[in-house]
Order: sequence, then C-alpha cells, then structure tokens
Amino acid sequence: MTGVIIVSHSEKLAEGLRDIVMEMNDGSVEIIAAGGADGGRIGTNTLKIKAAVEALAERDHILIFVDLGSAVLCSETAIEMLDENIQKKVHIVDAPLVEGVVGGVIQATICNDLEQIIATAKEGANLRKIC
Amino acid sequence: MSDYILTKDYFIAVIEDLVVLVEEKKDYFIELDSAIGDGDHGMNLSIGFREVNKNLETWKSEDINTIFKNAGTALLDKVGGAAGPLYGGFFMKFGLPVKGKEEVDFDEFILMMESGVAIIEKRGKAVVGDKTMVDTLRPALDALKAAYTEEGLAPKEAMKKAVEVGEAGSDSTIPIIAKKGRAMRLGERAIGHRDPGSASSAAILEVFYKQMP
Repeated sequence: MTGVIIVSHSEKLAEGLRDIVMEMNDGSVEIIAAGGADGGRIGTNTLKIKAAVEALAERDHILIFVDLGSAVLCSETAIEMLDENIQKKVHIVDAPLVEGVVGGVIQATICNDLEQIIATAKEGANLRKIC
Repeated sequence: MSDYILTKDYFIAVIEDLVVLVEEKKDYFIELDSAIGDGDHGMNLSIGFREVNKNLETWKSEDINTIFKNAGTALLDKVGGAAGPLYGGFFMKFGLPVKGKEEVDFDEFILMMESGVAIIEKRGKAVVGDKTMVDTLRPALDALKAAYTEEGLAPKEAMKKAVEVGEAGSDSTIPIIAKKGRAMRLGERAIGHRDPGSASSAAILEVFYKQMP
C-alpha cells in the first residue's frame, strides 16, 4: 500500500490539497500534509518531511510530491537522513502538485504498482483543463 | 607545520559572532533576496541563528563536532528556505572530520571546511557559475588550500586570502544569470544583482577569519 506526502511552501496549501484528494481516497492510501516552514511560516521543513516519511515507514512505497525549489532540496535532505531500508521506498515524484497528487492517489487506490502510480501522477503534467 | 591550534573556544566564538552577523546583515540579505528571490534569506538566517544562540550555552561542554552538529540541526529545522538544508548541512558536516576533538590544527580546519562545502555542492547540485553560495565557497576553499599547503602562507594569512577570493566570487555572481533557485526563473532579469547566498557565505567566511588567533 502507498503513502503520500505533500510538501508545499504553504502549510495551508498542503492541507487543502490533502482535503481535496481525501474525497477520492477509499482509505487505502495514507496521505500526510508536510507543508510550511517551522512555525507555519512560508517555506519547507526538512525535519517535518523526515517525520512524515517515518510515520509512513510501514507502507510499501512512499511518494513525495513537491511544489517549488527548496521543497525538493528539503525532501532530498530528509531522505538522506533516514535508514537505508526506508530510503529505498521513498520517491520524489516529478509531477505538478495538484494534478500529480490527485492522479497518483487515485491510481494508488486501484493498484499497488509503483511504476504505474508514478506514471499516472506524471501524466498530470499533460492534463488539459479546457478542451 | 601544525603547531597552529584552533581551540573549541575559537569555534564557539565564531558561532557567537555568526549570531551577531546575521542580525546585523539581516536587512542587507533581505534586500538582496527580494531583488531576485523570495526575500526570506535574511529573516530565515536570523530565525535560525536565534535558535542556535538560545541553545549554545548548553552545548558548550560538548566536543567541536557535536556543537556544530547541534547548530546545523537547529538551522535545518528553523531556516525555511533552501538555506536550511544548505547551511544546516554545512554545519552538520563541518565537525565530522574531527569527531571527539576539543581542538584542531590547521590541516584539520581545512578538512572541516572541505567537508562543509562538499555537502553544499552535493545538496545544491551547484557548481561555480550557477550564481549560488558555491561561487563564494568553492574558490575560497581552493584558495585556502593553495595558500596554506602550496604557497606556505601562515594560517591566518591563508584564511585572509580565502576571504578575499570568496568575496570576489560573490562579486562574480552580479553580472550573470542564475542556474539554480528561484532566480533561475528570472532569466536575464537576474543580471546586475548579487546572489544573496554568495553574500552570506562570504560574510560567514570573514567571521571564521576575524576570530582566528
């Protein structure tokens, strides 16, 4: 089963996105919002991300979705600080935040195939909103 | 060659000066970062080092490595932007080559600098010319090594050279576009502005120099 971590510079954005995607989650995907810097400031927090990964350590794979620049840097740093056994399970997904999380979570409720879940999340980049 | 010693007190004094530095230069870093970034570099460093300052007293009985590891962890936790993992990483790795020691010689000091700069390069995936702190730190470190081990300069003189080269490295970020960070998206609009990370790195190196005996 899959675990998902949402890393945004905004705590509210991460939590709001979690709220949206929980409507499509049948309960099989565990989703943690790890947004904002320490004290709720705009930014990202390595230790918050690390704690989120640790909380999902029992999951088969853990996908991290990020918004901008330092979200990637902090996520990579958090992964670096973890045990190798957990490191192997964690993947930072190169996908748009909203579309990627929605697509990835839905796919993760359908199957447990890591490559398929990541591929679906990445397809979010090509999603047309106005046809 | 190695009768020049940097004690734990030196390193504690450096940290205390860094706390003062980031307060003094806060507005300057904010100004630099507002021009081509998100404007949080000054405030972030200030919040980070205030946390360091709050706990420094309780760390003083530890060895050099532990003190810097604690300081780095505090920065990692409190500094919100990319500077958190970068400077946090720098200090967390800085003392690693001298684990358990209460004083170091100059060769060891150079190893500490190398360890810190290497993690910034690795995490930031940056090289000289990307308009980042690496533009200050890499040339400064290379100059430090060359001045001390090849040119035979005295330790403090070698560090002075490193600071000068680092400052020139920061200057070199002004006329170029950025290849990393938020400024990357600005393209040519970043030209004419100093990279804030390169400026804070140069200021940090100067603190290490000024405190040297």
